[in-house]
Amino acid sequence: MKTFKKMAAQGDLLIVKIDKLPDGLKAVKAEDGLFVVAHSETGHNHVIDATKTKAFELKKPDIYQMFLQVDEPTPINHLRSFDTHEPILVGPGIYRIARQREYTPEGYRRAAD
Amino acid sequence: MINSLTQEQIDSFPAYVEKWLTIGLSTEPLDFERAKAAVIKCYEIAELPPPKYFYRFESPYSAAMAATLLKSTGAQVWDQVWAQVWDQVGAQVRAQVGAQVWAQVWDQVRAQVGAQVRAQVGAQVYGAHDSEWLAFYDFMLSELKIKECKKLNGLMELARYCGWWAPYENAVILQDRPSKIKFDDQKRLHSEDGPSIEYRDGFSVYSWHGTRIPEAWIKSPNELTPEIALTHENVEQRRAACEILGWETILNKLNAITIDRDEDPLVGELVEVDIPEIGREKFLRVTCGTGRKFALPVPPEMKTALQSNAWTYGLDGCEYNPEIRT
Repeated sequence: MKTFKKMAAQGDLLIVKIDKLPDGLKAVKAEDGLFVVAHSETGHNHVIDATKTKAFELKKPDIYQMFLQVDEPTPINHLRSFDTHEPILVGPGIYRIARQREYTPEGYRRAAD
Repeated sequence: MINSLTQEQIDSFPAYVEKWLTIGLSTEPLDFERAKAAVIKCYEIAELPPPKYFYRFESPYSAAMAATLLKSTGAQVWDQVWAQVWDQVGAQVRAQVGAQVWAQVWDQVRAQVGAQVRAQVGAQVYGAHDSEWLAFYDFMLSELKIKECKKLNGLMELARYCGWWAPYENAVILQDRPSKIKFDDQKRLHSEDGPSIEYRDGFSVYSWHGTRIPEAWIKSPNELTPEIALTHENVEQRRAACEILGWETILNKLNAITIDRDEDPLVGELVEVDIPEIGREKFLRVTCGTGRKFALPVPPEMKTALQSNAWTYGLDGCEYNPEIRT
């Protein structure tokens, strides 16, 4: 399985290794034993096993980023049966997950995968 | 006279926002008997004799046609109901700590229920879609015990039990709520595979990230061509059409000028195009990890493909260096 040291992209999300978790976070609840690291409007979520990781989001709502604490190597999987983005193995550490955005005349909005 | 709120009262704002958002976005069927009782309460408060006839309709479309017929048989009495609740309740309540509650509770419920759902459908008495201002008065009544607000009980009950409604001298039109309301993750009406608002008789609204669009663009996507997308008269809808088709398809029809092409196809190419009547815009054309090509709009100040790619993730070009892309 593909893995990385500092930065990797899976579809419309970017996984960036960081030194420590920022302040002002709250824990994200697991859904069926998984953390959804990127919700997809069409239901093709990107997910990670919640038993080996902890997920956090900013208390001030921000749809463009979330944070992961990974305890042992765990893959991020893309739940789509076609045009599937390959799983990426994430090593132990702290990560920021950024969602891709696109420009609009009013500012920007989340790019749909 | 109440001039300030306790911390406890301020902390209860989110609960009111939540409660009235749930009412405003409800897709439950009309509760005819309870709605009838609530209407009678409203007529009593307005010192009007109770209406004799109650008509039920499944969407604003059928109700609007019925309303046209009813207008010829009896006067609309909304003004009287309104005069009682708004003028009497309103003046006294708004003079209190209105502004603070208004901003927190009304604005938040309105952004989603009023500006989105109601504005897309039309104009009558809104019932459930009145939840923005009812939320404000519910707070005034429940938390601040301002008793004038009791006059709104009938309207608050109506909001819970029916969609829009229209009062006449002898008759009342009660309307079902939508059976389906769909949003994108920024709470704008949006659905890629069907109506964003659907009523039980089939009356529907189609939306793309908050912009109302023709039904055909979603129902018969094959009929939407780049030519239609680029010449559609409404510019906001034109943009939505381009997004539905995908910018990559649109760019292939236009003479895109390359500004910068990165050696790495996964970083891609920055191009500029002149879109009829929208103007010059920049796009990042990339191949994603699955081999599909697509194009993302990027801000006009972008100079390289790498910088544009980094921008899509909120980073500077120098910070952006993924080792793998899948």
